Amino acid sequence: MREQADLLPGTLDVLILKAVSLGALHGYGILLRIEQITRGALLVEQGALYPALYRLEHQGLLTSEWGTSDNNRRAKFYTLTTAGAKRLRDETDSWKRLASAMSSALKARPEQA
Amino acid sequence: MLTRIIAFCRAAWRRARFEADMDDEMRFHMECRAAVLARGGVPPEEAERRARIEFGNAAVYRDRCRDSRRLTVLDDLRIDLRFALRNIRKDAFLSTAIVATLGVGIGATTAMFSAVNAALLRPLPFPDPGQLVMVYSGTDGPTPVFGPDYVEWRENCRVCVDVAALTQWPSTIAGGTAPERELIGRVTPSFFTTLGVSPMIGRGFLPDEMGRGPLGNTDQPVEKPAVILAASFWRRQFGGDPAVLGRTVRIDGEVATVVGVMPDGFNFPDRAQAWMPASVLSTRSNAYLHVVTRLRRGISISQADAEFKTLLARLQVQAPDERRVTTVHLVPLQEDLVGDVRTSLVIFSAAVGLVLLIACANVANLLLAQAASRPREIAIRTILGAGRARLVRQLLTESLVLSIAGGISGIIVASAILDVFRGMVPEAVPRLNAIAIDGWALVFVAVLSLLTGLTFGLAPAWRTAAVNLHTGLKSAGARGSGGSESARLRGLLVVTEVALALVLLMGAGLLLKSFVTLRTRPLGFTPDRVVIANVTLPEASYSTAARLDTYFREAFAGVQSDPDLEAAGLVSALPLARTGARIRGDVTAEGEATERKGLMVHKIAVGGDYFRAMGIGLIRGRVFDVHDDANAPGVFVISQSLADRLWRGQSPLGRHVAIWNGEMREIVGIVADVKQDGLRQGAVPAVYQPIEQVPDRRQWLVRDMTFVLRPSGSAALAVQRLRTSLLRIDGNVPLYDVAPLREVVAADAADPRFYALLMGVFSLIAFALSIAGIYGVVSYSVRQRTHELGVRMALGAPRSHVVRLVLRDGMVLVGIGAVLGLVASYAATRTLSSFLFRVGVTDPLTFVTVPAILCLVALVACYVPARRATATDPLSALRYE
Repeated sequence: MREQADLLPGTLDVLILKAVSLGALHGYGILLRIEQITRGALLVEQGALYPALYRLEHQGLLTSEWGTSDNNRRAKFYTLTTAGAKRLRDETDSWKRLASAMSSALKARPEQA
Repeated sequence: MLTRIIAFCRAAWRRARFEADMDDEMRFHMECRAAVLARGGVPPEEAERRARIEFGNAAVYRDRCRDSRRLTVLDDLRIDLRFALRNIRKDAFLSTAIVATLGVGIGATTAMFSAVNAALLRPLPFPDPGQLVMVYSGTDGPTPVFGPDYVEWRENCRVCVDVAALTQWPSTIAGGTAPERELIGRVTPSFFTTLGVSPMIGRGFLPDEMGRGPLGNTDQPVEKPAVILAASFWRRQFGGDPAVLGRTVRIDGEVATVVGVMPDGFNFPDRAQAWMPASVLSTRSNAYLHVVTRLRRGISISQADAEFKTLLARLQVQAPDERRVTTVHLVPLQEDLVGDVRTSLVIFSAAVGLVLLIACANVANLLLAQAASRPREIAIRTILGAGRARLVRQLLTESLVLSIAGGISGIIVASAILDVFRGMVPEAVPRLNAIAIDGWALVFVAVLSLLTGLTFGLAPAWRTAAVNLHTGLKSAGARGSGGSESARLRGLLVVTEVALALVLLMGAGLLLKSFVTLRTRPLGFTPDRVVIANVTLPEASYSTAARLDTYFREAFAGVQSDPDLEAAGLVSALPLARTGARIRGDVTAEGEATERKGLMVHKIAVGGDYFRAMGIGLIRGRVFDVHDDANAPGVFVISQSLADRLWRGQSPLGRHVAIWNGEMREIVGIVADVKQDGLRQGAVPAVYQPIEQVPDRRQWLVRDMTFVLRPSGSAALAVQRLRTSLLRIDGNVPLYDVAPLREVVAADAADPRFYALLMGVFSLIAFALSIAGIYGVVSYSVRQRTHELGVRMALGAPRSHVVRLVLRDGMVLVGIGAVLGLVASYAATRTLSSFLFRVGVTDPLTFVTVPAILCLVALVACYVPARRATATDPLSALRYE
């Protein structure tokens, strides 16, 4: 079993937006895609996905629609709205800044101080 | 924001659908997961179980999903409401007390609001009423204006859309089902257009329909007399028949053609039942016109004032006239109609606001007492995870439920108050006959209920929610610790209540004293059993003094044979009434060249046995008798005060005086002074003369007369006989405004009576509430201290000592409240100064008596629980835990 890390607060929302940006998905599909794109490195509690989905939908970042799943069952599919796409871009930028700042900070050696 | 609201609403309305979808979505998730696990070789049941475990606590997530849609607010509200109702039912007595208290407070406030709304806030029923302004001559305070002034303004005012002049007086209208005596507005043709109201049927007046002047001046001859009827009169007298147009009616005997009917509710000014064209005199001899103008849109009162100022100055330069109005006084029409009622409404609104505050304080007190008994419940809820905010919200829900119930009972109380109110409103208060609980009043109740709920609920809720877990759980539940902070808060509330109640009581005391002073003034006559009835003889058919004399002689012949009549008289100006020709003027004494300066006397014509019928005491000499007729030498009876003013200390009998620069007539009698103009006025000297001796050119003095009957038997029968006898003489002359003389006297004090009564009711409510508050606080503290008091008594403290101990606690609060109330009263009662008659705003008697009574009653309220405390057996008190 690979080592898994707990999610930082707020990261689940970004992950969901990213997952949905790659194509409309139902809840379980989103879980699978997050696992796939994080290569299973992040631990998502399955049920916790739904309050986040409802919140994002409430904020107008996602819309949902009932459709039919691969196994012919009624399922709710989420798609990214324009506002959601914009939020994803913003979040990506700030994550990149934060990540590079954090990594350069953590790489710092004594002579640089 | 909007999308969120829409989402919330959609979620709320489709709550069931939302729940089903959410379940379905989560179940789908678990099915997918189970399917994956099953494919990996896990047995189906085990796969389902594991899928559920991996999913986590579905109930919590569902709740969080709802939360993200703000659905929990509704859930909480429902729970709070259910809980509140359960609590309210649990303590039904307390809840009833709270709802009743609030009902009285909110009801009284709402009734007052309806009155204020009717008189001050509701716009006049005219289009764009804000632009309507009354224009008075402002030289000696606001007074009516001369005809030529009105004409000049109408022709020259650049800021006015139109200007109209009006006046009104009562006339007899015959021609419908029965002759009626009604107020008739005498108006210029521009009247209806200025107000912006057109007749419902027919037309307004034409410029050539100008009529006679009010004092008989025929400045412009009447071409075609026309009359416009009020809708109410038209329905009453003509059954609402549109064919009334073109029909003729007789107004004071004068024939006039009906040309229009005004819409319902239009009775301006006052209660006019018809309108006739007013004449506008071309000379500045009599100022009787009231002028109303509609200002152009966007023109303010101050702009109009400036325009009038320049206009008047310019006119004075162009055509100087020393009698021209040189300053005007502009009053918005609404203000003009409401007049000095504004002050009283403001004062009584403040009073009723205090009542409501006291009610709130009382309810807060009750809630605090109740809260003291539930720290255990609150502690348990706190342990189970309820935050302070959540607890406050729940407790506030309880008080809001109570306040809404209070608001509903308040509506009932308010409509009951208004029913009583409508019957008592003084006639002088315009626009109040139409007060009712309307939509605005309901909005007012709703807002008031919420505000009161918050006012009385917040402090107790905050206090209660901050429970100390340790002591809270320890307390037995039924009997709480209360705590010193809570006790202080309750004490503070009682002090406030007592102070506010004292202010109201003081106001009521002053008004009551003023009213009593007014009503116990000597009248100069004895109104008991006396009935009065008015009659007006139209000029058209009674143009000469001889015809008037004949009428009255026949009238008396009809009633004097009545064995049930002790005395019957006739007077031109009944004391304290507003009827008839009320004339005050100069008097010239025998041997003096000119009239006495600064001496104004009432000139009153009397007939029959007037003095005996009124019970006016004869002091010296004699009263008139049948021999004092037109052919006999002229005689006068004068009042005591006139005798004193003219010949102090000497007998005036046999001396002569003249009125109206007429001939000298002999004084044959002196009668007691009578309150002629009003109870507030002092003795105004009067000269009486027999109606038969009124000179021909003054016969208008005896046109409006009042019969005064002093029956020995049934008053109704006496009036009936008089009516029959009068109708036999002339069927077109109705007897009107028949009333007991007591009522006429009472009507003169109607305003003070009304104000005293209103303030009295308010202050008694406040008084009762605050006494209940004191009683509540003291009995609560006695219950709290049962144990301590038991110990004291067991150790041998005498009962009186224990009673004093308890009394002191309560009376300290009362004392502080009374002192604060006295200080506040000292500041507040001066607003009443214009309502008081011969009573100072800091009347010492009132300022001592009222607080004394308050303290005395409060003492009793404290004594009852104190007595109960000592009545308990010390042993059982010690066991009480």
